Amino acid sequence: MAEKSLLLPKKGRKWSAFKRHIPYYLLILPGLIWFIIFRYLPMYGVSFAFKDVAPFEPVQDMLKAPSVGFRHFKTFINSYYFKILMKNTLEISLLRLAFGFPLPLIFALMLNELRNVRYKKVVQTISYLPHFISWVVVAGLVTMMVTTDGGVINNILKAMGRKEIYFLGDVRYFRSVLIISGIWKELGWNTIIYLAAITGIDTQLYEAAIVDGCGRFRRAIHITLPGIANIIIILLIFSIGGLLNAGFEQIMLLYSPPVYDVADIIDTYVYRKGIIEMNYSFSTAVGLFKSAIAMVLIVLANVTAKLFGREGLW
Amino acid sequence: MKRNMRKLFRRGLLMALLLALIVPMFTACKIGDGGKATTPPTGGTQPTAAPTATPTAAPTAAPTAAPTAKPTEAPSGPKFGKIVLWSNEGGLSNAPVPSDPEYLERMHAYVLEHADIDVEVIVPPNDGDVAKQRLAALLSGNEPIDAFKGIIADYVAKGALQPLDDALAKHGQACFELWPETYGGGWAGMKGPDGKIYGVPNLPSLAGVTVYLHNKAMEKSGLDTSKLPTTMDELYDILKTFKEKDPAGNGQTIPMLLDLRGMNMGLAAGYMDQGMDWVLRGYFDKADQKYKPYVFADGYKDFIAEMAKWYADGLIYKESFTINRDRQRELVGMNRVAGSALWYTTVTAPLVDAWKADKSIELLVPVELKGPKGYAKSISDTGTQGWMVPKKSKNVDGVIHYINWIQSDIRNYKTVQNGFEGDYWKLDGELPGGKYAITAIPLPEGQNAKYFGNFWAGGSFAMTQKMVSRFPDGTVSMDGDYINKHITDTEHTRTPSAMGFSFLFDMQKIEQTCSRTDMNTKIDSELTKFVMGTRPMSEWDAFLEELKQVGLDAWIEAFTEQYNTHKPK
Amino acid sequence: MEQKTLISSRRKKWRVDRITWFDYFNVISAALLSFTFIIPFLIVIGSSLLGYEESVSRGSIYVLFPQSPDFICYKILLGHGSAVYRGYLITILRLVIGTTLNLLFTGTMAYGLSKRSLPGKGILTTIVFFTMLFSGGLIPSFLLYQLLGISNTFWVMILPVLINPWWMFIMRNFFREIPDSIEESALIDGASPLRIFFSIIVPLSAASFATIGMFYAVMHWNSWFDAAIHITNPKLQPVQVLMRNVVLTATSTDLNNEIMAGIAKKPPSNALKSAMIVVSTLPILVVYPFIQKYFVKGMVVGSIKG
Repeated sequence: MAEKSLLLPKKGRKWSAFKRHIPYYLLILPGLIWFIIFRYLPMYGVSFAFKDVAPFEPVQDMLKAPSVGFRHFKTFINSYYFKILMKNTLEISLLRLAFGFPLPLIFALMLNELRNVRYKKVVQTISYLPHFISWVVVAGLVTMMVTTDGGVINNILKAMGRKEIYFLGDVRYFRSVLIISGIWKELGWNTIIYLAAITGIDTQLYEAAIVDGCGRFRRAIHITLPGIANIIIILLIFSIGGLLNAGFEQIMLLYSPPVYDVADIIDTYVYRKGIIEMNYSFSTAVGLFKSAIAMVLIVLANVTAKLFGREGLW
Repeated sequence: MKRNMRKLFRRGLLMALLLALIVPMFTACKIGDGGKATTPPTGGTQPTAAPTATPTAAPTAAPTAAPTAKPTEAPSGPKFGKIVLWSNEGGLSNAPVPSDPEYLERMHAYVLEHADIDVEVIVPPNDGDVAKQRLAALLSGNEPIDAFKGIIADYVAKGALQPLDDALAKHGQACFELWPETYGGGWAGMKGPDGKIYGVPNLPSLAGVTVYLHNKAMEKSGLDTSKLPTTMDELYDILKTFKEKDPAGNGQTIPMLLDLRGMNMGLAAGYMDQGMDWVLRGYFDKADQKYKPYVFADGYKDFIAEMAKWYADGLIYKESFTINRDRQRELVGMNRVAGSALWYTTVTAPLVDAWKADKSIELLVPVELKGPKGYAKSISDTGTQGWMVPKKSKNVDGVIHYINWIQSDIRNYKTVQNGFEGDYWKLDGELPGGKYAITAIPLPEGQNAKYFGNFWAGGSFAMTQKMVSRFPDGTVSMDGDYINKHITDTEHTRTPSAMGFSFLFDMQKIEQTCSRTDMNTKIDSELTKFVMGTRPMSEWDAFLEELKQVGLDAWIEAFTEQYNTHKPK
Repeated sequence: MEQKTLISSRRKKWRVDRITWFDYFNVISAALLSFTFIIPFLIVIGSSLLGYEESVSRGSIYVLFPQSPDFICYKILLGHGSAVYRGYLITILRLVIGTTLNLLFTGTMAYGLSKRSLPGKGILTTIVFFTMLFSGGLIPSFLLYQLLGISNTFWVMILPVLINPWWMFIMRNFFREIPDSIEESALIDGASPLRIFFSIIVPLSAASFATIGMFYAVMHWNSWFDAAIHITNPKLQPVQVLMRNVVLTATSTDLNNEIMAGIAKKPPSNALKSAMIVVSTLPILVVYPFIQKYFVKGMVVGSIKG
């Protein structure tokens, strides 16, 4: 087919290539239309961020509202919440990264060293389980575990003669709860990638190492880890790209006013301002601000990935 | 390279063209599109055009075929059409169980027959935040509710409401007659900045938040119930005794259950030069003639320090500031709460069953409770709370007619509030002074009522005051007792700075320069930290300093201006 | 095949090493870890059987073993008139209709884009890819759904999530694996690409459809936020929203008015919450062991090629 098209003059070649592919375009069309309506039309709506829209007007009228320029952005950046939200968002993300990133790797290495294949399978299956449970359930389980009113952990503390701790209402403990429950939910699932990468390592390397008299620990350090370094770096770079996503759903379900100081992130603020208080314009502006920064971060992550000589996202 | 760029540019242009073609196509399509999924036309530019004939294609949508024609030209349906009620009057949130579905059917038919209007009821979720979010979605949505209760100013400022003047002039005679002049405010508080009426008033000046001590808990702890605390120290000692004696057993006793409002309205005034204002959240500082957030009040810091001590000593329930009213009621109902500072019905309602079984149960109000600077309890100014009609509603006449019908007759009022006459109540006639004697009919033991006020709109304290409700044995229910003795008690309560004109403050204007919610959120969050001991009291001044970053100066300026404008000369 | 040889060579490797303290440590810590994944569920089951009386006498607590199991919570949640059934109906409808449409839209688009010779492929890919970087945000979407008339309808749970670009690209990569020769021979036989897609490609890539479909299905099963903010009609709420209301806010509004109106004492909220969790996670717990290997497969393929 390709040969045939080469014979045609340039313009005609293009046209015929296009014509030949019309059925494929038809297959793409529904998806494309969907993207335009559900992903690009809302982008048109970010114009609200530069207006002052009244929440109870019909949307058509909102679009006609006069522009106020960057007023909402200025208000946000000058507001007290800007600092707090940025700080919380980044800190929670970084904490997640610091603890949530190495643990699955370690767990994967440990799983890899389990001798009994069946036992390993069982442990894996159990550890994947929480991934399939919604955040609503996990948040419910967390509240049950940590409540001061008969919660398991506080009962243990009390039995040990310690004072009970109100984990969910205490600024000193709230983030630990967030991070631990986050790890609990995704630990097992996040090992899958590593385990898959490990199976991809050339077994001859191991055999050679055994011949050289390398112990298991050294094999893990010198063969397994370098063997999956690629995937580790990629994952790390992209979790840095997603730094502004600090876990909206989880925080939404667990936080309360006493811990706003350490738990309020951009997304929860956008939700409260927009959906609850109905400050559509301001909320859109804050959301847009976040999207823009997130985009820069992802692009940067991709550039970094390429700098490291790895394949980027695009 | 250059060719590539040009190509890219050409492609981009093509794409833009395509987009420009497709987008309008789809915005045009959307109405046709919507047809398959219950969509009334979004109103567009003619929101007042004929009430939409709502196509209800979704299988689970409204169960009854909605009578949709204009109220005046409906040959078959009810004369006043249909309204959808967000039923947040309060009866439901205090109900131990939901209303009986079959009873609701009968009530619906009754209202249809007597008020000539089809009322659909939406029961709000009990949780404050969930309810708020659902209400917001309903208000901005395509299928609006027609009436709900709330603080008028909050919604006027957002342009969410429609004025009621015309509808009230046409259908609202009884509403005007019911609300007595002596309550002051009321209708004045229902006005928007444009001078139009946006709500039907609900509450006058009230002291609804109170400290309660459970008499059985006191007895079990060996305390003398005739000796109620008069100072904060005495109250502290009583709570301490609760903690030690553990009347609920198993370490389950909660010496003090409160929330932010309860703490501030029930106790804080004792440390301050004036009462607490939980609506405006501020006070007038005479020293520098400014209206400021309440945390700046003289003595307020001492109050929080005291509360922090109570919390640290385990007297205040650990999760006090994060639980919702449902949980509060559950704790009260399980007889774990010995002392409380909450809205009175939050405590009385869950104890109704226990009280009916054992009428010696009493909730004691320490009326003489004082802090270093006077009485501890605050009384609120006339409420700016009322029944409102959202802008998107198409049947404002129906709503006002319905509220007017309810408020025009005690029988109507009691029926929508408590069920049919003869089931749970009986009207015994008029007493001297224009009040009505009502007998509350007790339920058989172990049974709940079947109806909890789903259809109750236009609740009005004016009507509450017209009734004297007793059980056949002459006893008055606990909440009735509070209403009779304490709720309008101005002698043992403190009044806020802007008493008598706080409802005139123009919130819309205030919000143009500062965010009240940001300020409130920040203060709420920090106060709970101080009380819970997660922030040391030594940082109090730093906290006040932080408020500057939340827009304190603008806040003070805006509120001071309103204060000076509306202060009686 | 490859996998098998790998494992056997691994086994050989194990034989080389002696069993050390590390193995004991490893086995035990893995067991403990597994235990932490299971114990919360056991506590939930125990607590769901707590009755009002016991919760008054023992305090509102969470327990492994209730003294006198009370099934009132299950009566409320599973008895006649329970909103759970309607919630499940909505969830299942959402899952079935949603996933089917997801696969249809994702599959067709992915197949179209999988043609390396497609003119404009780059632009189309960029259009899709850009949405992964930037989105309009909460409020514009919220208003768009109102404008389209899908808020407060069943479709607001389906249409806005029709295509996940990430999974679409994974699927496109799946399709690229299929040898061109198969399609070409069909093309020569005169079959249209549309027919080829449905009669050759879909059956050939059943496994990848199953994997991606399961990703979508889990997404639908667990979603609650979209329904919570876009749907005001309680009758259209999926079971996850019902669960959010019960579990996190202890709201029992409209849960089962028929039974609740008839009981004297509401069960303790702890028990009701627990029972709700049990009722709404049990199906996934039952199905999970059978399907998890597909996820793992998909996850591996997706992550390596995506």
